[in-house]
Amino acid sequence: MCVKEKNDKFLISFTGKQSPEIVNGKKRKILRRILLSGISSIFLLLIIIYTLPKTVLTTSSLIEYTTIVALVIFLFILLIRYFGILIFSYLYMNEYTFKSTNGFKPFVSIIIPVFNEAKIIERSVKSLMKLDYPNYEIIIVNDGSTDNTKEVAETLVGFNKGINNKVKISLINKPNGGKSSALNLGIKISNAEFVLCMDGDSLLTPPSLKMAVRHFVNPEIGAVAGNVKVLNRGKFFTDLQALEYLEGLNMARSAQSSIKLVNIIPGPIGLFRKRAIESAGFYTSDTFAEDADLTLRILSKGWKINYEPNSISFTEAPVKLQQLLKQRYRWTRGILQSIRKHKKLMINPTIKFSDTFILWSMFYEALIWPPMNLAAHLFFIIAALVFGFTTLIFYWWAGLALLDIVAALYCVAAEKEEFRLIGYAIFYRMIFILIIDICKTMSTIEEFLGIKMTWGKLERAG
Amino acid sequence: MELIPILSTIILVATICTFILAVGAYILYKIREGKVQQPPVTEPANLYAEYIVPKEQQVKKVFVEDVIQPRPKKTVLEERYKQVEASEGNTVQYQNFAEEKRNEDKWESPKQKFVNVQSLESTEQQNESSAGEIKWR
Repeated sequence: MCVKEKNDKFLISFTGKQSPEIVNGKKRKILRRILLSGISSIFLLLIIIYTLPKTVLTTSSLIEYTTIVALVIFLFILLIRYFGILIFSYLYMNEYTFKSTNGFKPFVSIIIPVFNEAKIIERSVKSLMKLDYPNYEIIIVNDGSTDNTKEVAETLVGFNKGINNKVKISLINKPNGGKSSALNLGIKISNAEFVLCMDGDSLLTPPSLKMAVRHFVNPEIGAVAGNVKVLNRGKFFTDLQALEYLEGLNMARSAQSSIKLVNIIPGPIGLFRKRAIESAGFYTSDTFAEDADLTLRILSKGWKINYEPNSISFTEAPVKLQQLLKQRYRWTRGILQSIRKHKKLMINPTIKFSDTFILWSMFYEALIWPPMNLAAHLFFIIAALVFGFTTLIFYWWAGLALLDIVAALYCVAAEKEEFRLIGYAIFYRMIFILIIDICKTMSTIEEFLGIKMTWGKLERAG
Repeated sequence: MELIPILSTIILVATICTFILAVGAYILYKIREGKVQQPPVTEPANLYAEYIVPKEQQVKKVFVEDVIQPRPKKTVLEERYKQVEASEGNTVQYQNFAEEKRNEDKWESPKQKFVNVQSLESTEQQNESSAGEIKWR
C-alpha cells in the first residue's frame, strides 16, 4: 500500500493527564450512603404505619392499590415514551430528508484510536478509503498496544487511493493512556476544522462522512451523532442487539435530534466541530462513558447536536452474555458518572433548561426505568405463582410485544433494514431487555455503593 | 386445552429462567472481574509519542514572494555579531560567528522534529495561541 521509507517520523511531547481513580471506594463513604438510604426508608415506612390506621385502607388493600397505581403509572410512562419517540423521530426523519448542502466540503480528520486491534484495523481503514468525500485525512492513534497493531498500522501510513483523490494516513504511537487520551492527542494533532472520532473496529459506509458534514452548514451545530449498526449478525444474541440498536438507540437519537439535543454521541461514529470539542474541554478520563460526558459538556456550552441516520458505522457487538454484561455494566456506570458530574444542571433548570431536560431523561433511562421494569416483571411472576393469575403475564407480554413490533416495523422501514429483525421483537422485551435491566439495576447499586470497576475490552473475532 | 394458559405458562417459565440466568451471569461476571483486577494506570506528567506521517508527494511548496524578492534570514546570532562588529570591528569575531552558525545548523535540524504539544486540557487562550502552530516541516 505504501513505502515505509517514504514516511517522516516526529517525536511529540504531550502532557499526560493523571487518570483520576474513578472509584470512590472509601468504606466510610459507602457506609454513610447505606446508612442514609436505610434511615430514610425506615422513616418513610414509619410514616405509612403511623398514618394507615387513620385512613379507610387496610394493609392488604394498601398493597393492592399501590401495585395497581404503580402499574398504571408504569404503563402510562411506557406509552408516552414510545409514542413520543415515534412521533418526534418521524418528524425529524421527514425534516432532514429534504435538506442538501452541495458545495460545503470542509477538510475533515478521521481519528481512529486503537488498542490491540491488529486483526481489524486494516479492515477499518479500507472502509474509510471508500468514503465518498473529497477532503479528508486519517490519523490512527495507537494507544500503546501490546500486540502487533503498531506494525500493522505502520504499513498503512502513506497516501492511499480513495474514491475521489489520495488520502493521507498518518500514525501516532503513544504510551497507553486510555481511549480519551488517544482521541485527544489525535484531535490536537489534526489541523482540520472538523474531526470524526470512531472506534478501531468500526466500518463506515461510503456516504457517512458526506451526509454528516452537511449538518455543519448551521453554525450552531457542534457535533453530529452517527448511526451505529451491528456488524456481526446471524446469531440470536447479536440479532437482538441489532434490533436494540435500531429500536432503542437510533430511534431515540432521531427523536432527540428533532430538538437538536442528542444526549450521547456514540463512540463508533461522531463528527465534531473542533471548536466545540475545544470549548467543552476535550475528552476526559474521569468517567467510563467519555462520549456521554463530552456530549453533555458540548450541550452545556450551548452547541446543538444532530443525528444523521445515513452516517452508518458498523460495529462488532458482544457475542457472549458475559461480554454483553461487561459492556452494559460500563455504559450504565459511565452514564451515571456523567450525570453526577453535571448534577448542578440537573437540579437547577434555570441554568439551562434544555440540559436539565436531557439529564432527567438520561436519569430516567438509566436509573428509574430498569428497576420499574424489573418490579413489574416480579409482580407478574408473584401474581402467577402465589395468587394463580397466570394469564396476567400473557396479556402483559402481548401488550409489550405489540408495541415493540410496531416500533420495529417503523425502524426497519425508516432505515431500510433487514425485515427478519421484526421477528425478534417478540422476545425482545421478555428476554433481552430483562437481562439488560437486571445488569443496569445491579450496576446502579454498585455505582451507588462506589464499588471499584475497571475498563473491559471486548474480544474481537477479527 | 386453551391456547392462552399454555402461552402464559411458557412466558412465565421463560421469564423466571431469564431472571435466574441474568442474575447468575451477573454474579459470575463479577467473580471473574474480581479475579482480574488491574492496577490503575498512572501516567507521568510528560509523555512522548511517535508521529509518523507520509512525505509529501514530490510537490514542493514554492512561495512566490520568496522567488521574486529573496529575503535574507535574520538570526539572533547575526544581530549579536553586528553589535560586536560595531563595537570592536575585528574579523575573529566574524569567523567565530560563521563557525557558531555552522554548529547551530548542525544540531538544529533534528530539533525541528520535536514538537511540543502542550497540555491536552483545553483553554481557549491556549488553543488560539497554538492555532496553526503545529508545523511539521
